[in-house]
Amino acid sequence: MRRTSQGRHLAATVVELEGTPDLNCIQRAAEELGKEYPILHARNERSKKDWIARWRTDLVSPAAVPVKRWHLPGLSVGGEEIASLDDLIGRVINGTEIDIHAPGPNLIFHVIVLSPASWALVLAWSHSLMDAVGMTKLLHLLASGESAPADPPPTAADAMPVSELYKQAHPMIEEMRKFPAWRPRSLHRKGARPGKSRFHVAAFGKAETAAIRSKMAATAGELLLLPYFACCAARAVQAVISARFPEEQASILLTLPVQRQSDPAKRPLFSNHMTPYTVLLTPEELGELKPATSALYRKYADFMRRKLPAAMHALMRMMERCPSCFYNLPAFIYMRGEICSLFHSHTGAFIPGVGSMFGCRIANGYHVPSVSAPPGIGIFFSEHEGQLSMTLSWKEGCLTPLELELLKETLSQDLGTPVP
Amino acid sequence: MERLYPHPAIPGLNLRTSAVFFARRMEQELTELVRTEILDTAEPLTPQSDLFAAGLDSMGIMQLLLAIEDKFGVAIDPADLSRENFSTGEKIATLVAEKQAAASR
Repeated sequence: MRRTSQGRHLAATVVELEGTPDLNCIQRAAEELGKEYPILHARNERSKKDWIARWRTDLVSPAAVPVKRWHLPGLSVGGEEIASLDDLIGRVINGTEIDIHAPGPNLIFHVIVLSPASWALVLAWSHSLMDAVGMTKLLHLLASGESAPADPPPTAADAMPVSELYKQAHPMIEEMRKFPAWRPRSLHRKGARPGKSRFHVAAFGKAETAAIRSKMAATAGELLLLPYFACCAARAVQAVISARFPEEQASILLTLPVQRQSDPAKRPLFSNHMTPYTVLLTPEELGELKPATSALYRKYADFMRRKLPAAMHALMRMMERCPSCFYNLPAFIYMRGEICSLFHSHTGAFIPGVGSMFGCRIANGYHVPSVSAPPGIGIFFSEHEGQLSMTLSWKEGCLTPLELELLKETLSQDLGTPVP
Repeated sequence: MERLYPHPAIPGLNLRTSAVFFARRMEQELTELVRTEILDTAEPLTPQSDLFAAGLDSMGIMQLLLAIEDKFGVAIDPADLSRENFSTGEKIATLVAEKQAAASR
């Protein structure tokens, strides 16, 4: 996650709730969480012995997770006034309050009152601290009011010799050598400095979500979310790239998360739970949604059969030993300035099995990650009680307003319902 | 005369003793495969356990389809899957048996 400045990028997780916030309860939870997990205030530092970056929990005094209060205009409640929930999310993902390389919080709670009968909890967090799987586990903890044992710190034995890691990583290195020939593109404009992080959250209602599911079932079956929604996302980005470069046939290089540990009980809270799974989809494969989904599934099957997840994990561990500039520049030259065409995930149910938090019913929940450029765009899905949420996240400068409309139009066609 | 037993999931289909034995064994093997290789959990599962409730998600289903292909020689098209026919070890075994029977005709 530290590679290509991903490590400094922030995410917002939004839990929309009915009722009014119990600030004492939230404050208590923030205090217990901060004291239980010193990593929430630790800085990340590269060891001079083995060059591996670690969280310096040994330098931290336990402290409560900060809680900040906000309210929309016209509401006479405590906290600072802000124009909208989107404004707050924008501040979070473009903020500088969280810096994993400096002392200070790595997680902040923002409580925003939206109306006399609704509010939202916006969690600001660093993607170096955890991923969506870890955030789901954290939300479960907050909802249950229980605390879980802190994760044990990694031991020195985790530092496998680079020569051994290289042997394990070699199959993935060989696989990645095929990518440049396909000339994948992203929405990043070469030479342009990416601007602020922008986003759009599309919340589909129950009827619209049912329609989307129905189309998915008719196209690719009702169970495999990952290949179907990944192909919808890939085709949308391809449409924009094709409009930008009409003389080219653009391939799409997708980076998808692959779960490293299936059993939720064994997944540590603050850790990367995912290994990236990089798959190339050619213009021919992306021609129509149904064959694209089949192609992506076959490539996933091939990826798993050749044991490439373990090879990818070894490659990531190899790269952990170096500052990102050591491998980013050669990678950029080799891949002509691209990492992948887009980031994508469908995280499934948002806090599965949980209907309320801090005494209030959860109306909806979704994640808003910021993305780096390249690729400059991420398309993320999750679902809560039959309502699908889609987050489009991009870097200013990577997507014009017209291109954003083209992206949404292509997604609308593939999902089978207009994007709100 | 060999006694026939009704198939647990296909109405009207009666099985010989040996077929019931193999069907039961496949259910157990599939359930254990899900528990140990897909979900990697110590929680006990039976062939009637709801696998989605136990944590089987989209990624797990993809891994399970590959494992079924490797272990039972049956390639199941994801488009043929539904919550109805894939929610328990028993139902998955029925689906696999149907595919095996279709392949052998």
